[in-house]
Amino acid sequence: MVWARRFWLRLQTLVRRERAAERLDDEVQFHLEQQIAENIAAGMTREEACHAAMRAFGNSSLLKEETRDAWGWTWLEQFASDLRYGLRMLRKSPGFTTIVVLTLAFGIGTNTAIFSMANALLLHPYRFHPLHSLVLLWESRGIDEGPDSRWISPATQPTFAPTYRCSRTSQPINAAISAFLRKAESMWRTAAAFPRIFLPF
Amino acid sequence: MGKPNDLVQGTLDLLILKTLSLESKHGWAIAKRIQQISGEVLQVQQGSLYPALHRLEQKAWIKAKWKETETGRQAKFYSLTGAGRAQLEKEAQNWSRLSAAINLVVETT
Repeated sequence: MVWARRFWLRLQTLVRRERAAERLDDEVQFHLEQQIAENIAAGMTREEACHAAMRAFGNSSLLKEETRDAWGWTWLEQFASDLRYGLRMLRKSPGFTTIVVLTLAFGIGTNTAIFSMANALLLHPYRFHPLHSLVLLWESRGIDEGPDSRWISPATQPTFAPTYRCSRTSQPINAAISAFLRKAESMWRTAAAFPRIFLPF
Repeated sequence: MGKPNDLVQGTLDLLILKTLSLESKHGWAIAKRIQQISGEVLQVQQGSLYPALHRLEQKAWIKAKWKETETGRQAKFYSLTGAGRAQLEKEAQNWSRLSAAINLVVETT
């Protein structure tokens, strides 16, 4: 309960800071008036009473500031004013600002691009779920030639295409199928002619 | 003697909590009360009460309410919360321990 109350109070002094500051002014004003009244009752003139009251109170603007510090938002106010100052300075020298922004943009962009690549190629090279049910299909011509044979040879593309389409439409397996081919230069890529088709069974 | 800076750190909190333990009071009345009870020895600089009051309020040891005084003016009255009462007990015990210990040291010849 105590923490809830603390949270509520802090929120109040944040959201209604102006109001809280006004209230503090009232509070201090009331205090001074009380003291002045007492001083007058003790036989001082009004002016003397005012001075004496203020002396007894101390430096009121400093003390009010200390009180506002007690609300615990000074850091935020300082941060906000630093931020405003920074923005003002940036606006004053647009050339510098442009260079800074471009440098940052380039730096962040490059980092993101390189990380995305490293993430995909090095950190998560096999993103299949589940990996153990990943299979490679290829056509057999009666002798086992291995996966290097017809599925992935450009030379056999004409026969491989119908097979692929057939597997796509008739396979009862709970899976996604995609085709790829290897070019003569040994560069692997997803076959443009056979776009990745994911079958949601 | 007795500017607040000379008070042992945290003592002002204890004095405020103790002063509020009987009834709710506004800032000026708290200052007066501390002055009177201490036989004018503790001349708390009145303004320095307010940072302390607001700090204690933020800690939920005291709560504040705007009420009318006898003179019909609005004033902020502070009173002790349950947590404040517990804190008062704790700080009072600490204070007795500390002052007893200091007494021992000072009076031992």
